[in-house]
Amino acid sequence: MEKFKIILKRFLLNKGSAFGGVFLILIVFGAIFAPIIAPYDWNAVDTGPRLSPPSWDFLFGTDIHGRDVFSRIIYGARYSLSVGVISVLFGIISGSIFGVTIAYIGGRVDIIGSRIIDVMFGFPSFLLSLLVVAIIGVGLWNVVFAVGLASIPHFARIIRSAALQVKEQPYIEACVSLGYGNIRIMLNHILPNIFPIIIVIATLDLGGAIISIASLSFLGLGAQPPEPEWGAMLSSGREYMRYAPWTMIYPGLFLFLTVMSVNLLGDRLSIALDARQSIGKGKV
Amino acid sequence: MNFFLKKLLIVVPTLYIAWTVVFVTLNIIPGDPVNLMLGGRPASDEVRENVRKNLGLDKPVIERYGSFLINATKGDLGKSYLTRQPVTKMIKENMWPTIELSIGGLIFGVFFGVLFGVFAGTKPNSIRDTISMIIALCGISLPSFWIGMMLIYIFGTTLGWVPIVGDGFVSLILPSISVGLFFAGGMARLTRSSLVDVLNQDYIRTARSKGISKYNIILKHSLRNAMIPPVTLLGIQFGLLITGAVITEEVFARPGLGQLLLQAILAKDIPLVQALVVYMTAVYIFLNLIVDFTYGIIDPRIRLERKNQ
Amino acid sequence: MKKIFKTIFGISTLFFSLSFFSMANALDIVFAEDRPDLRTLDPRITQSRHEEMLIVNIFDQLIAADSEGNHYPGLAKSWEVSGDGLEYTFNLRNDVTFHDGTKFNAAAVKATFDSIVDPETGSQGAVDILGPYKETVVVDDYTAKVVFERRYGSALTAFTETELSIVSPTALSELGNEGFGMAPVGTGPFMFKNWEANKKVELVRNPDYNWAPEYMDGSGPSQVANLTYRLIKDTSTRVAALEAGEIDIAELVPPLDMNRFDGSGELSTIAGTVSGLPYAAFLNTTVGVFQDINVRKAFFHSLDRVKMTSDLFFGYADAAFGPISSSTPSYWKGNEDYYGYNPDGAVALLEEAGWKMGSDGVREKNGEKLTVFFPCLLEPDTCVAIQGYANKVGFDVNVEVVMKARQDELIFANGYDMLVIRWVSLDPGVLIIPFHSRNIPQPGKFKFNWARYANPELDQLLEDAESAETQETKDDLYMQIQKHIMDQAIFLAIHDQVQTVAYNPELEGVRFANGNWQLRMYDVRKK
Repeated sequence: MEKFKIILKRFLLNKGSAFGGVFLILIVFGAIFAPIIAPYDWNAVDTGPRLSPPSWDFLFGTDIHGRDVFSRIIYGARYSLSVGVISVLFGIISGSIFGVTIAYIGGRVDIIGSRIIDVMFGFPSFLLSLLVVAIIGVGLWNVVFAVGLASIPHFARIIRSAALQVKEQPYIEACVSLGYGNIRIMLNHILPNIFPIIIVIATLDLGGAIISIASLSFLGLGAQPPEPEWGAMLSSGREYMRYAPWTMIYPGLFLFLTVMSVNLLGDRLSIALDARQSIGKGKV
Repeated sequence: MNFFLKKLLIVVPTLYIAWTVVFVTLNIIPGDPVNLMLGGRPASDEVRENVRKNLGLDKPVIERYGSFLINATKGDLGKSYLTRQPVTKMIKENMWPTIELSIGGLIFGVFFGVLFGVFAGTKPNSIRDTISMIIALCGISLPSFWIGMMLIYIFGTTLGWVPIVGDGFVSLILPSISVGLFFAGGMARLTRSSLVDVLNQDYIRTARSKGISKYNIILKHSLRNAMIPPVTLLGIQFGLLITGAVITEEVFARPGLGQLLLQAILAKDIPLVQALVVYMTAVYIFLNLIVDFTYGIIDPRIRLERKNQ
Repeated sequence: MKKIFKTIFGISTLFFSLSFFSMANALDIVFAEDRPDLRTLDPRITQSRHEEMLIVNIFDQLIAADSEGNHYPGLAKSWEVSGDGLEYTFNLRNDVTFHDGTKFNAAAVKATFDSIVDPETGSQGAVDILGPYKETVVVDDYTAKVVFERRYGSALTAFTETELSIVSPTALSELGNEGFGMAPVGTGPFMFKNWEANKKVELVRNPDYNWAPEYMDGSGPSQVANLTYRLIKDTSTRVAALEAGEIDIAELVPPLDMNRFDGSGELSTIAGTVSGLPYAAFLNTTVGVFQDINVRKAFFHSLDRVKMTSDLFFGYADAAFGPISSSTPSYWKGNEDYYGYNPDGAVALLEEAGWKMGSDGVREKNGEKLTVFFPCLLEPDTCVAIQGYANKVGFDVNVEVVMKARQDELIFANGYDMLVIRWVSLDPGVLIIPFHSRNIPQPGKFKFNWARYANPELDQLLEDAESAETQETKDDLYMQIQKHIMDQAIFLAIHDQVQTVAYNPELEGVRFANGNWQLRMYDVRKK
């Protein structure tokens, strides 16, 4: 508990994480209270004149259907944030189950499991997502699933090696000799020990997942109209770029700032926890 | 067993399993290829039969699987449903723009990545370190499709500095930035942290205490060692380049393998998707193998370490 | 002295005029085509309007047609139709050669048409356009007789279609079907030169061309020496390149840009209303809420098609009301009296049908929501606009932007409430394909009657119209057909398809081919 406090202190006392944290809190707040904050109905055609530039009435202007871009972005935060989190949760939970199980059982199971991970690593992850979408079809939730699925091998590999290290610890052997059940050992003794690593790699991956999902929506494979997901907004704003650049600038800016905040938090978390497994030990 | 041979022996079955996965997944996709070929226009049964005949879709799945693996090894992957051209020919035709783009992105990424990384890493915790790392963080946080559109809007449409559909070097600049930005960010961060680690090593401290100039140390000693981790990033980079190719080619309306892949997937042109995935996985796996090899050559310790794992 | 002066003057005049001549005669035109994924340039095989964009300039047809659809002598100087309407005898030009030097004659006509109906060719469009084709008889070198199995009322129009272009039999036997599609050889004003996949196709002028149809301004070879088709999918890129002068002519220019160019005079524009089916939606009569005709009518009434079209097209397209577009032959004016914008009427119809407004703004009946599943393959913005209007009277429209492959699955599974369609056709005969009951899709059998509407009366009308003997009976039958479709409210026309073209204002002579989609480049010249 003492250790945790130190980590928290290190984490909170940093400008970078402060910025990231504040922005994320604002976005989450906006997403939750969207009906109160958004000045207009995000889906109402002819809310204002079509393609009108930003003004006091329409903070970020309007799109081709006369919908308020600001209201759409606020509601869009609900989509863009939640889909990223859900996709990472799906990936990390599956990856943890897989990684911990094969590491704990060991032997042939571990060899075969690791080989499966290797094979999945043969596919660049974006290619894997595209293939999954090709099979299960277009749609926001399908894309969330595809991106989550494609991240499993990456998570599984890191968690497996972390679990292997924990497994070597004497107290695990003690648990075994005490006759604890395998599942109980995995859940109560291995998992808590690698939990900080799980948190860090999940946070580090979240930004990438948000971008991947937005990219697939941009390509027309994800969110469907009139859903105000940011990637999809960018995709439909693209054609009107020369007339209404605001339909393209603002959704992208929010996407960028959100991902940046998430990445900042991930960086700070990984430094604060000093997780050696973290990939990009950047500093801000 | 020999480190290299062992690696190679793992790669080959991996490749075949990956191809099998591709074949199985693509053959469970629902949909009738005949319709895909016909686009959106009304056609009589006669027309439809013509097309079916042309595709030769009557063979059993097992037979198709067998010939797929054999042909994949030979590099002959059949004809596209959509164009009826050999898919290898289509891939060849679309390969160069993507290679150009990848090299462009790579050069941008390595140059700016190393530049900012060294700039930051040689003076940790200074203002210039902070600024460099903020820029690097932006690099990995910017969605490439958005920055691509912004670049077009600013430099193409508004300022008119770059040709819109031109050929050659100038028209490659913006797409290269769009592809390379993420890579540059990652490279800068890795170079910095690696450099900081190396500069803290005892032998560097010794060298400094002996009065060797700082730049000499950085250039001759630390940078070379510090570059080992970033170099491995090159292998992983190939995966990013596929993402980059799909997105950037779409945004910049450039031809290339990314466009080919996206169109093939959307149209469910199975032979073409199969071929692209076969090639991409092969290149990806072998590039990573080469990276492993070079890594092993540069630093024999790694060979030992991996052996022990 | 005077003589010498005269000679010098003469030579210099000649030189001047020569250089002027060569200048005016060596235009290089770059055209921006929006589809990068061209597959074949074989008119016998293609079914793509985008591929035909090039094909119209490489090939000629037996009968030439201007953009209005008027017929002129083409490769045939004249033609006769037998009394029973089964035999079409063409008196062919004897001065025409293909780009490869092969002489054009009756044997070439026979080779072309026979190969179209050969299943090995894999024709995707031409074989349908050729209708009940039986055979071609070579009467003599320059007389060809095309024989049909039964009366084919649309035959003359068919012979003007790009798909029935005459191809070089020599090239065909040398290159094979696939090779020919990659390096087409015709008799047209431009010759195929080079094709860089996904990037560009280059054509050069045919120096021997001396058989331009009489509706063209020019004669002899075209003034355009090199004609390059740049394949640029992205609209913004296409327009930006046009404005930067990197290309000379661009198709599918967004209405907003057309508007701007017309205002500024920076670029010249032409817009064509495409004949055939307008952009329209089939309402599925066999599943879901649209089984009830009153619900279908209410849906029609909920849409302000005129405002919607002007909002999205800024005056460059008109709202459409009938099953065929107003520029198609046999169009019936009466279509326009149906289903005007009337949200109150829509509400009344829905109330009468028992659909009561729910608390969430969506109507309900017996616990079922008034939900419409709308897979949208074309023009997502229009789909969203439809969604917005229908929502106001209590429909919940779920739009899913789909690709072709996904739409196919839904069609097989009968898993949709409405689907959009559009296509280019020169003849109202196209209506049999989306409205005859034999064309209702079944699992594994892809067909185009997406409303899944089956009515023997309509079937009979469609069959009769196909073999109508006179223009009057044809017009009358198609009028009855259109009325039937409108009465049943199964096909919701939204707007006419438009081809919007902008080009360098120094040019003139840009003209549409029949159907108003493709452009004939032959007449393009400097002002």
